[in-house]
Amino acid sequence: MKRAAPYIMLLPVFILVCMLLVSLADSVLQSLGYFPAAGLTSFTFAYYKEVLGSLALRDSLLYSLYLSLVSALLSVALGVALSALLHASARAEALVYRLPIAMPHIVVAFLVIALLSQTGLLARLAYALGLIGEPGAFPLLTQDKAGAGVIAAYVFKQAPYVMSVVVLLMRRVSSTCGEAARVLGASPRKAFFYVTLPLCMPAVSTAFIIVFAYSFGAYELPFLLGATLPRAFPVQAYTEFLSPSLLHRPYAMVYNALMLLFGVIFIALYLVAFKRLMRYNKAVYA
Amino acid sequence: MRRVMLWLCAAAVLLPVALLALYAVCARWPWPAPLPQSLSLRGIQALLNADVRGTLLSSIGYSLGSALLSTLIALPAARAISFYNFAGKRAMRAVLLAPILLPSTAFFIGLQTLFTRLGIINTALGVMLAHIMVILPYPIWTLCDMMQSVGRTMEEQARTLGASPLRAFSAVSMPLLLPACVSVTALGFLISFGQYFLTLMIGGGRVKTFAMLVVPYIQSGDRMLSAAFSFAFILAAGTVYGVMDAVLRKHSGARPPTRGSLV
Amino acid sequence: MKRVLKTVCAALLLCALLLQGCAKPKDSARVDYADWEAVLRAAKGTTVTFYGWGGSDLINAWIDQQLAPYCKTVYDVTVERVPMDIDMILNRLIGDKAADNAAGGIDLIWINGENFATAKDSGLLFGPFCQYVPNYERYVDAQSEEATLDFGMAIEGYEAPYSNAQLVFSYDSSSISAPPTSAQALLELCRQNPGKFTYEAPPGFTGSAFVRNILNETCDYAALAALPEGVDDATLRAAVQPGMEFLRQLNPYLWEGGATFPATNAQADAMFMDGQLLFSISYDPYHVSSMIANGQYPATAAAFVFDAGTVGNTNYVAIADNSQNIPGALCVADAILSVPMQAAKMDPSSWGALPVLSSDKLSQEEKDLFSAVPIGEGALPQDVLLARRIAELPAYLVPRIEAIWLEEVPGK
Repeated sequence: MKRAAPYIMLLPVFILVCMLLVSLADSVLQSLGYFPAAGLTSFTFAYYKEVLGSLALRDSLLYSLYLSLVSALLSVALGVALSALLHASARAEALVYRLPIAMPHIVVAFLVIALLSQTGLLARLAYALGLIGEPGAFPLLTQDKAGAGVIAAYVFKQAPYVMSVVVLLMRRVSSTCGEAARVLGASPRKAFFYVTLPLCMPAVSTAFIIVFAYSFGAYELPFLLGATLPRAFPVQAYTEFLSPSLLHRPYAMVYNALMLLFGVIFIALYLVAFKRLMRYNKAVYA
Repeated sequence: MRRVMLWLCAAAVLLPVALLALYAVCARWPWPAPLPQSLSLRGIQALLNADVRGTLLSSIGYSLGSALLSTLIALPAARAISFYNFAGKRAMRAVLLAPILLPSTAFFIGLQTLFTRLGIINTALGVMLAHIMVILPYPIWTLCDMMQSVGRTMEEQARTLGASPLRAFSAVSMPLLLPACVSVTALGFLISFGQYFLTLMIGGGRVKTFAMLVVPYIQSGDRMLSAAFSFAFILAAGTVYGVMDAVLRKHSGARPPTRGSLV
Repeated sequence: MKRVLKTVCAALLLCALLLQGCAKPKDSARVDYADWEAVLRAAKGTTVTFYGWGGSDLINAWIDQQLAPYCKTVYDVTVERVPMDIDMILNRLIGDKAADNAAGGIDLIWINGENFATAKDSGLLFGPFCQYVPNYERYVDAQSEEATLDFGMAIEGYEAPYSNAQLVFSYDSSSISAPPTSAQALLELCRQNPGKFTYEAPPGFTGSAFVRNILNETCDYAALAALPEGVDDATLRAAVQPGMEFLRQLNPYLWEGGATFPATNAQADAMFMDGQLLFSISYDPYHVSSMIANGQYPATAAAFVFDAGTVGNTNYVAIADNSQNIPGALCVADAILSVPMQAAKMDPSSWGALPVLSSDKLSQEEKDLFSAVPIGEGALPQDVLLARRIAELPAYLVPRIEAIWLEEVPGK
């Protein structure tokens, strides 16, 4: 009974996890060309070969890496800065991160266009200030190759998330070790950069990985706010998925399987970071 | 510095919401006018439709149900992960990240086939189960954090004083965990309330949620309706969340730390 | 104790799953669809789910407030509108097929083009059914192109006409005096007003249609339309080359120099509303009057088409093969083809879609009903549109042309 206990407690989770794994297996099978509904019943690597051999794949992978990397770095920097400034006040923290979390990505995309497009609020402000004469003179911030709109939208959604993860640890660390450093004569700045922040690094790195992986795999924002070319990797996958021809499905699933592979790598990275987090946590509590 | 930052944050968060409210009543707003040129109540009228109200209420119902069930499932799971050693514990951690880190289309399509076979496609049960799968990692993580910081020492003392395991848990640990439970339920509600693609795939359009009213308008580019429905969406989510938060503060005084979500 | 409780909870959940799984759909009684009286009897009191795009409040309101009450009164059939994009609908049908689900929740589907071809070829549709629908027999010219071919694909009675659509341009008469009458004139106007025109990036539906419209004036469109399904890449590329060349010439005068394009037609239309663009494109023939009516376009906005014509398509309703209510779906298809519903649909204040009934088959009173419909401000009358209507290219060419555009036009 004692040995079975954790399994019983985890039973519902196990059932749901099994459903998840079965579902994933389904798409992997389709990527290998097994899709009876379209009359495809033989296994083949042909779809992989074709997708992996295409030039568009490399471009879209690089573009996605760039978008996720920049938006994750900015989100983490802003999230950490917010935690540093606001970790003492519970009210401020609530205001900052609850509203963006309640906004679906598509609403954020709508807002980014309303604010940053060439006829958006900022452009109108620039016009009112006499900085620009016509919409085309305002820098292109949506549908641009640099992905400014996509990155802005991700930072809006993700910085609050980073903050919610980091602020917990920071509150503990700064009230113990940070305070200790202050008592021993460190300036607030020194106490933060040399004591509090390094001790919070594990939480920061896990947040980074999660945020990075999420933006790497999501299609809505790069689809609505990105440039026509290059296409972000998940947008490419989604376009293939929407193709009305059933025979196209295996290609879409190859893209998904590749994203799955990246997802697995991110999970492995997360677990390594998590292990470090646990070690640090113990150190901080002890 | 802190105060400036606070104002900046408030502006960054509230300005977009104000802009939504403005777009919700603005018919024409040509460049370079700083304010809308003509107003219209078309968006508000569409919102006041009886069907919309019904959908909003049932949508809140589904989301609260999924969130509550997720918390109920997460509670024993978090306890098992925190206090027990068992084979596959690390694998469990990895799998729990899957709904967040893996591409959603990859498992949504398979899930659709699976649920069709199980006969729960197009049903509220199916939609809620799917939502639970997406929500679940968040309450489990947060409750693991909480359980580890609450620890088991107090409960064990109650046991040595003769309390049954259940009584020890409900009288000692549960009151300490309750605020976190309410808080993660509120978060779960937000996650579920915002699901669009998944609800459509599993609910087949038969299980109607509020997100399914909002998204088509944004996609078709009707800015007034998009803004009106988005505003209502945020208002509804915020109200339910705020009520849970207020209840929490009234009963426990402080808000427990909770992580946010990305979805 | 707590553990027991949790186990019970889990077991309950599992049982709920299994029980639901065991609930087999009841076998719908066999109905002879050729016997319309029998169909009416079987449909009476049932509910039909009508799946289709739900992004227009006008169209949604037309279905909810006009079609649904009509079906209720005439056939005692309840219409449940389910807003879902066609690619998701196909996905659901494919999912049903992959899981051998004979009892689908989808009855009637708003569909056309490549999606229809895929659905029909994959056996996802019920049919042929048009011959069972009395109003189809009465009002539709079964030999006409729109009743036989959908984007060049044979219909064979698997879908019944719903509406006619045609690509129209919108412009603001207060900013340009005369709209361009041809692709060449459009290029000229763009040259004079650089940065003030763009179109949705294909494979977006409207942008893709605009590209085909350009092909009509720059290539041998008839030869293009005659290309067979398996045509090799080199032949197709050669056939569309003049069009791609034209679009590359247009690029420098487009918004952002044609380096990037709006992701959705909604974004392009919003740029027009804000005054950033001179033209907007819509595949909805009465788009301008609807937009003026709801205040999003200025009253000076108007529609135009090229003299050489713009592409037009017909959209249809089809019935899912695993529908549980085929008699009900037949009734709704019949209602859609009735004179009062087609006339109501034509009114831009309730939708603004061109009717699909053959005018030869209408009585004088019925014709008057259509001509009495006010088409609103800024729109082109039906006869002008029909006189300048060109057929769509075959559905199998469409995605391939979109791929060529993506390779050869943006940023080039």
